[in-house]
Amino acid sequence: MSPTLLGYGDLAIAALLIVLNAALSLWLDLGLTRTVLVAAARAVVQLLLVGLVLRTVFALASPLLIGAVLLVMLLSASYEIASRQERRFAGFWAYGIGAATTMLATVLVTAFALAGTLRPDPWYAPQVLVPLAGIILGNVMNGVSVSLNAFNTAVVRERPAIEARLALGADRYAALKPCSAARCAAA
Amino acid sequence: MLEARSLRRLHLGPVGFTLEAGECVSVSGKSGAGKSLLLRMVADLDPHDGDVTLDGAPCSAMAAPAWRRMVTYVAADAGWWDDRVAAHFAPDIDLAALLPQVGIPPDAVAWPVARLSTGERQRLALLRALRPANRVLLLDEPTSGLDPANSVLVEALLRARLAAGTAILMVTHDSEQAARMASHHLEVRDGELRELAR
Repeated sequence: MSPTLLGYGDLAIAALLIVLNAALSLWLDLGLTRTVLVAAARAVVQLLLVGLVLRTVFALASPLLIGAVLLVMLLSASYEIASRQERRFAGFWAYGIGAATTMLATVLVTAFALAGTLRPDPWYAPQVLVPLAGIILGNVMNGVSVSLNAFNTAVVRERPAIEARLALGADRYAALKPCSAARCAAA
Repeated sequence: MLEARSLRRLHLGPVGFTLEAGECVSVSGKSGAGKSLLLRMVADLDPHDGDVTLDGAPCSAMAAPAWRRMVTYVAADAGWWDDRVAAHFAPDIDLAALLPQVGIPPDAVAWPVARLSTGERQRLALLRALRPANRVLLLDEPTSGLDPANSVLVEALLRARLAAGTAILMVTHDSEQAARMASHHLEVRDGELRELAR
């Protein structure tokens, strides 16, 4: 895989888009100008720091260090999922449910991509593994947080129906049927 | 038959009481005193301290669905999990024949739930809870939204269950109804359960 190099010109185009957004906000009086600019500045600083860390990780190519980076990515995704929930599970599962599903899906899909299509050498080559896991993790994180939020909202909304079934002796799976995919989609 | 000991949740308890087969006991008390809380603890719907036994078998040693099929709670404003009335009833019962017992026309079998009035919902929620397995019914204001004629129908239905040996614990604000139906009267006040002498 040959790396794609971005020049200063490309970065300038990306920066221009943000300035364009800020200008739109000013023009339409959306009150987002400051937020957009601050977020952009933060993103630049964060990406520079991430770049510094990744340069070291790529240079050392130590499996342990790469594992640590992936773990931090997974943990921050799990935290982000929990913080996107309007209603959370109680106790450990507030974070546990997001962390467990994210970890399972990301590890499985990344392993399939590594073993099936990309086959880098060594298999943990950070130039492949870290961006690949990052892309998959981003998608998984969005999917998990949206569906978990829809489920939790549906459980709260359907509370009387769920309780009615429980009171009549239904088990939890039958009682949660109204919150299954079909009705969640409408949430 | 049913014995509740040291039940406690939030501001209610510890409280205890007993119910015999075929007996109706009324529960009164101000709004927010904890009447529904009491019924929900007996049905094992909320986390609580203490335990309830049915013929000596403790609720805590039984799977919750099995317990709730025998000790069944009917909320004052029960929920509906399907758009159609018939979907809330077991397929083995002849619903059209049962509906007139609570003053609802037989063709309501085919109605959507959205067409039901408050009083019709209340009667259907009760009818839906009456299953051969129930030994104890925990009824939260079963006739609060009903006109006198329909209240009479519901009381007759409940009397038939009492005669068949079902025990009933009934929250009611209607002291005349309590006097008609119940042999003992309990009041929830200041977190305690007291027996009222009438």
